[in-house]
Amino acid sequence: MRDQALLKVENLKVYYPVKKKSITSVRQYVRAADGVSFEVYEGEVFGLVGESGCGKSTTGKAIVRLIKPTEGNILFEGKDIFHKSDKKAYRDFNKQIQLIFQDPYSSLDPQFTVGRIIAEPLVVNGMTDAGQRKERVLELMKEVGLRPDHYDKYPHEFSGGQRQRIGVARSLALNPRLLVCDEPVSALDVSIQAQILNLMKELQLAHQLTYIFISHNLSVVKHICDRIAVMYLGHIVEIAGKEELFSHPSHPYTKALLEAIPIPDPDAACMQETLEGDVPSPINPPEGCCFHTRCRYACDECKKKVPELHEVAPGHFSACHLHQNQNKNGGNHGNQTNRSGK
Amino acid sequence: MSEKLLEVRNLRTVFHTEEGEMPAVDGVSFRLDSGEVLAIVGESGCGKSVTSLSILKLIPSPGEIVAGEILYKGEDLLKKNTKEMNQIRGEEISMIFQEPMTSLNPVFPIGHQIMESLIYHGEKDKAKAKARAIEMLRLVGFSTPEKAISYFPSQLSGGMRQRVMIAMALTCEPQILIADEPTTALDVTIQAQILRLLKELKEKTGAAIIMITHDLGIVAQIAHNVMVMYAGEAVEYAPVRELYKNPLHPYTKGLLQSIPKINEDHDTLYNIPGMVPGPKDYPKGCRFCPRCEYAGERCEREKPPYVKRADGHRVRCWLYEGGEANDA
Repeated sequence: MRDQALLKVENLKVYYPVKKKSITSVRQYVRAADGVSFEVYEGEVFGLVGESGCGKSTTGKAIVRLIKPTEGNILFEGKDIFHKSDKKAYRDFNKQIQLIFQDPYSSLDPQFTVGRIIAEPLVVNGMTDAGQRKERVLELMKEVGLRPDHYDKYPHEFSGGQRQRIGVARSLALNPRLLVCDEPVSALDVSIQAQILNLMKELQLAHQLTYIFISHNLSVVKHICDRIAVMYLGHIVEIAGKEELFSHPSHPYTKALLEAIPIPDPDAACMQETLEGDVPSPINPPEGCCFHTRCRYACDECKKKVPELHEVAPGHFSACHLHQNQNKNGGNHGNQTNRSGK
Repeated sequence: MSEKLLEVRNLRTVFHTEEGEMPAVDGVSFRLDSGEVLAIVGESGCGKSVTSLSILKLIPSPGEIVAGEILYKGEDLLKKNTKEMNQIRGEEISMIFQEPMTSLNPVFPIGHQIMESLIYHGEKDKAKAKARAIEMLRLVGFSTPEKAISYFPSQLSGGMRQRVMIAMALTCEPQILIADEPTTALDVTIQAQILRLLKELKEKTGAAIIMITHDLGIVAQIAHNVMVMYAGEAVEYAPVRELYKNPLHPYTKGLLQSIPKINEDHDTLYNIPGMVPGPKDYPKGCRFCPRCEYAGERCEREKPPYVKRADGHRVRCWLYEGGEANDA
């Protein structure tokens, strides 16, 4: 259908060791990502959604090589990003994938001026001519909506939205192809959030960028993403195109997530059926389907067997025994109420 | 139902800083009836939290309430001394704070913390207080409250801690519950649980709630009336349906348009240009004027009055001068 995937994540597992309670106890691991696989195509915005602790940020960090996976591969244009021949190969690769951080307050060095912050990636990557560098920085600043007189200011002189613009300019400095955006707007107020989201959309069109957009806010994800993966306890439970996911959510967790969002309309029906309980600890995740402890459709099979992602509609994958069985029996999966139709 | 419980008149809370007086809340007035859920909405720095803290006189130094009246059942709270206020805090008006992680004391079990306010407010019998704590924990959804009272906050998840906060706030059956962003630190599925719990508890106890939030979705789902704040002032007040169907103030309109909605599609989001001014850069006229697309010359010069229109809708904007409909 489409060309080769720009980025391919295969069975990614990231386990963080937990500090042992005593010398004799068994080493335990937090299974932050536990078998995550997906593909991202050139020019699309791929959303990773889930609640805290679901492994979405861990996955993002592994993609930019900030953490080493315990198992699994990440291929960028078909080449493994963790096994490069030499330093130069890594450096070339680093230019292509950049990260936008969540917190615009802690991700900018308070001792650097804005100009210096944005120039940093250029310095590291060998743009030695200061005049040329400044020119590039000013160009970037203009692009993200910062004024040239901001060049010599320090981060503390800016508001959250402005700082996030600085962060965006810095990530764009090396003309990356893929941007991993880790909750780029969740620290911002709504009116500012809209500005940054619009800016990101404009930049994407202008530079044919590919985004991996990590967020817990489904409304934001729906606004900006083309395809969305829903994560729960280190697993991807559902992947689908935006329209399909919001009109025909298949996995019970996705449905519950959609149901839990308060809609800004007093007459809209939502939050009627809420999930019970808490997310289980990723140290000892439940056997079988990770969601069965909170799922209202859980059956015996769910407690034993881990469901695999399977296609419920073209391009729409869901990891749930319920639908697998329904499909086998010729049942349909489209029996959900359509919330986006209003 | 509509018995007046609390009335705030022209509240002005300032922070004394080296650069002078910073008005965080500047002439805010509203009333709260028994059984009502009033939402105070606004972006960070608009003074919504300071308003709620002012009601309980919990403004930390260098802040000070310099003017206004806070009438609770006809008595001005601002004239009360600390001892009298302590009788009111927790017993009559209580508060749920935003951060369940930091608002609980880590060195005491949660049962102890719930009992504390009961004992402070005159419960002599410890066994009774304990029974009440267990009852409250059951009410907020703990399955084994007898065990849970001896848990420490560190043993609980964020959602559970917020439930403990709610239990603490409700033990003395207050008339007014102030909830300052009670779900901001929580995940959506947990948020939905907590909001449902608050709704249920309101039905059971009949407490009035002041809900401070920046999330217009939550407001739509829980509030009866809404007050929108901007730069320390109330800019609009209306019943919830009226506000969403017929927002008057350009700021409210902008806010409503700038949230991405799950049930609608937009290519680009509307955004309000610029940013919220800090207290030292408040414009002379209308405070929203520099960001307002309808702003005229008069908006720059003069401060618009807070006019009351038909059906209880109030707005602070020159477009709606005179109180009656003269839409520009």
